[in-house]
Amino acid sequence: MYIPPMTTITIDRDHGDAVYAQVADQLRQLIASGTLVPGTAIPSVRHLARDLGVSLNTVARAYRLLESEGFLLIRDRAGVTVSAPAREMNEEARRQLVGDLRSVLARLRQAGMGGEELVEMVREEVGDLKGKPDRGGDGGGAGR
Amino acid sequence: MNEKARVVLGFFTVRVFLVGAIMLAFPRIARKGLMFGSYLGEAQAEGFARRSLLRSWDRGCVLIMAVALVVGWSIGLSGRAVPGNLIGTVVLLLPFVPLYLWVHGKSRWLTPLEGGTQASASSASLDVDEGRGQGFALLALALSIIASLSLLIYALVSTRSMPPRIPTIANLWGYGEGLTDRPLVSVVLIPSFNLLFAPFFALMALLVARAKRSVRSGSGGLSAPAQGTFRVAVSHLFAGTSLFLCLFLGVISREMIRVWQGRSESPDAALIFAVAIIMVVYMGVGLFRIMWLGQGGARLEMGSPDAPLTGGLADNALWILGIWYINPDDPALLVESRFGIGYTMNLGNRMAWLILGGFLTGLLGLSVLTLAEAGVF
Repeated sequence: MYIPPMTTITIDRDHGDAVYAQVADQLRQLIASGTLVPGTAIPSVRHLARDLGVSLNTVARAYRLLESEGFLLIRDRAGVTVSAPAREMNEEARRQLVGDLRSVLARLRQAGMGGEELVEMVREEVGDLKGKPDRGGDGGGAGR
Repeated sequence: MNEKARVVLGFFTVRVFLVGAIMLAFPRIARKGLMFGSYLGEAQAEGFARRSLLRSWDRGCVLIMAVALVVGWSIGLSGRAVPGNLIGTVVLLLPFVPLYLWVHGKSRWLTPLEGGTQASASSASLDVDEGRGQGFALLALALSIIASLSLLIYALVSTRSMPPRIPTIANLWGYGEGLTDRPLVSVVLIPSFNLLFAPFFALMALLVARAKRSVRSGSGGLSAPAQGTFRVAVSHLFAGTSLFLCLFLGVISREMIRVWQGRSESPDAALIFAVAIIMVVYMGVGLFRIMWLGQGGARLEMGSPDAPLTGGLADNALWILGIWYINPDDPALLVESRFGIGYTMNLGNRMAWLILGGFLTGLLGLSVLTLAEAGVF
């Protein structure tokens, strides 16, 4: 029997992070790992809010955030779909994200992670990413 | 015993066994983790306590069925079949309330501390299957509104060619028992029933097709498709019932109008019976199918402590007596019932009260119309 793949997201109200941030974070991970490929339709704000039992604003806020980060494409009639990674990086976005990365690396370093360990961790994380933008290189992204 | 008494008591006996069988089945088709309206957790709900509660429920059901049969048949055999049917049915249905409350109360004692459940977590599937079941429900809604309004207009227009006094319709066999000088009320009674119930069933079909999916995270990927299959089956049952109800009440209404107009001696009982049989078979097959799938598609998914129920369904604090769900923070209108089969309204949602209020107002109007037809006013 064919069993269609099921992708779920789970939110926990006892978790420290806000619910919208949990939704956004899980969707981000699913897109980055290639579980949700570009063009995949995902439930509308109303449907996801209903199934999760959270307010419409919570899901709408998560979707808007992901749209601004380029992960989602929200259109009135076509609904919500997963965006393909951008082909060219916006310079302002690049500066912002590199700043964020520096901040995270500094925190990891401060938490006791050594230089080699950091490099290895980053290599593993990059290896887990799929759907890497095609800039004339391999284009397919690294597999698991 | 005359033929009428035999038929009445025969239907009564079938009803006792049908209701009893459904009640016996309810706790067995529940989602894993739920027991008599309480969330016990997947491991606890399979243990010794479950078997003990189930035994109590089974014994109670069998006792209620036996008492109802004895009461109904005793009154029926003394020459009062209709009162025997009515009193026997009351004796059959009412005791299930205290029996349920008793086992529900016991099940609440077995519930773990809230921290041990998944009440604070909620899962949702990201697959989009919102279109399934909605097409038939929308078609049924449109057709039922058009058909029931057409029937009402046809009935009103038909009164022009009726005599001033016509037979009443309040009779088990569909024949008039007396004459009424209020043809208009008699004529619009059945179309009014149709106008309320047929679109209401179709609306329910549409709402069920959009009901909340209580998906388990994990569960081997089976939970979301199981929910979808169950939701479509329930929606189709409501939508089909809406259309068959239109057909059934339409045929009865037409046959009665022909009698009232003097175009026929009596309603075509064979035609009415045939339509009724088709409708009952459709509903019976639909009910059997959803029972077979289990509540929320329980028989199609794998519930385990690794794939627990989450969200509203696992939160005992949001359910009153395990039956009424009240959660103003949940935008869902229909949610899965914890006990029984199908869906229930989220009474924390304002729209639920509007729909229930509208339906109850319609019922009140029909009650007034029925009393007027019976000559009470």
